[in-house]
Amino acid sequence: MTTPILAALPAWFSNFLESETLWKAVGAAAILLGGVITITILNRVALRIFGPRLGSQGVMVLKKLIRYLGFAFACILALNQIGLNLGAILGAAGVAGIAIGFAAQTSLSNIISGFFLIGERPFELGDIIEVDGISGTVDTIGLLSLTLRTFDNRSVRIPNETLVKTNVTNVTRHPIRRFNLDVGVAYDENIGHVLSVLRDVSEKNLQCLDEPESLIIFTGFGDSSLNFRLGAWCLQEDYGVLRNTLPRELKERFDEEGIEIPFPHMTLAAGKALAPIPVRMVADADKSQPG
Amino acid sequence: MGPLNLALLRRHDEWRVSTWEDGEFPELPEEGDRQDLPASLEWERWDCSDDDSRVRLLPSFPDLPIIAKPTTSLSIAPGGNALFYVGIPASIEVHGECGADLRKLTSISTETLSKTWHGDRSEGEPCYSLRTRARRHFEPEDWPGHDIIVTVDLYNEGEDPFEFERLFLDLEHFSIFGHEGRLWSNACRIRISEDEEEGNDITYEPGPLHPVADATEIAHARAGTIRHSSLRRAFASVIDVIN
Repeated sequence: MTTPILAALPAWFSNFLESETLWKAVGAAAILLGGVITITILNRVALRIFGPRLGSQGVMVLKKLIRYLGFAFACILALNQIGLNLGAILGAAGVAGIAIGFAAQTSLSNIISGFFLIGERPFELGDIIEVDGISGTVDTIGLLSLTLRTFDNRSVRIPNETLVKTNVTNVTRHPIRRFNLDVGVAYDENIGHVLSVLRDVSEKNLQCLDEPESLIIFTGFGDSSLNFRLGAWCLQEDYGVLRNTLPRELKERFDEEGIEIPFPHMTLAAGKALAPIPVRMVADADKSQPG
Repeated sequence: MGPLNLALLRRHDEWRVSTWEDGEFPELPEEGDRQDLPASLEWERWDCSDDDSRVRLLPSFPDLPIIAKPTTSLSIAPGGNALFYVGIPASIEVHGECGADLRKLTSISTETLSKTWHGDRSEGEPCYSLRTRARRHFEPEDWPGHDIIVTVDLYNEGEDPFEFERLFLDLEHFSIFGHEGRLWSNACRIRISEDEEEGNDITYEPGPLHPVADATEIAHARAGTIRHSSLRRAFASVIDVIN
């Protein structure tokens, strides 16, 4: 059936259709297309099986891993189909791989660190974390790095290796959180009275949880003040409000109760301890001087 | 209701609701014109049709479970039982007519309740805390009119005396009944088992106890009526304070 049709076509075109190269190219294209479909199916199956266990970070990395490895495998098969000598290519790739490996040590380290982070799962997408003094919401988690969105809406890229090496504080892992408020009062104040006022302020604050009970302690004798700590527990979502309301309510209550919050001060003594500092009236001194 | 004042306005094809607490503004008449209301009121607004005019106010339970603590703890002997009355400040659900149907517009608590946590520091749920409203006897003057009275009958099935210091109550399966101007819920009975990990069985009665057994149901239970349930660690004081 095909011969009459080919005979009707121009000679160059029928030669092209009968050439081996065309069918090899078609085969390679089919392999690539099949590869894309297989990768998509594999991704879905893997996510269904491993997704719940891996968490959002693991899922993201698994998807990328399947995609990159799948495409690499499909490309090798397609090149093989075209008839390229894969042995020579892979040999060259091996040599190049060693060179690239030396050059890309940091990237490899980041990738391997990424795997450790997947296993450990110290945070998830949307968590608020603190790394090297930078706080923000985990925006994206990649093979090489993590992107943090800071509270003033900057995007900070942190390499995975850094996350493994340094202290990472996950602020939102637990549903409740304690806000510590340190306050100092004048030495004249009654410690018991201050403690009861702190207790009352925490009980009346709307964001402060009744349980766990607030931590209210006398922390010691400071240079200029008696120091106290009020540690009030709240829901994660109430933390911002509590941080704003509690210090204000405490200051207002201290003002009502006449409790003084002192500023740092220093007592000067001349010579013998606590002897008064000699004061000389400047005007008299001026009069006594001739001229 | 209680310390809560509520203004409801139907204006410019909108329902408008505003609330304020006693003492925030000078005393206002129960009925009057819009001009009588303080100008600084903050309004919430909902769109409605021109002809919509019906409105309904319904009492409801707070949106979180509660933890009730009696003024002082009580020891319940093995095999013994104790009846408690717990007063829970009602919320007001405002339903307004929107296109011929009554739609819930908002829910407002009559009293601001303090929050607490039921669970450990990694897992649990937020609750409201009631400090002094679990009483052994019902004296009408003890309870403000905006409280919903819940009767809880505790039965100690264990072999040791049970110290009752706190009670976690999930309010989803309680209905609200009206009787002589007061709000009641259906009664419940909680079996205190030996092993706290097993949970505590709770049985819901169809209505309040005697002498208000003939009360009329005003609002259905949010999560539907059930007969039995299990309260996980209903009495547990689970938080260890490590500072």
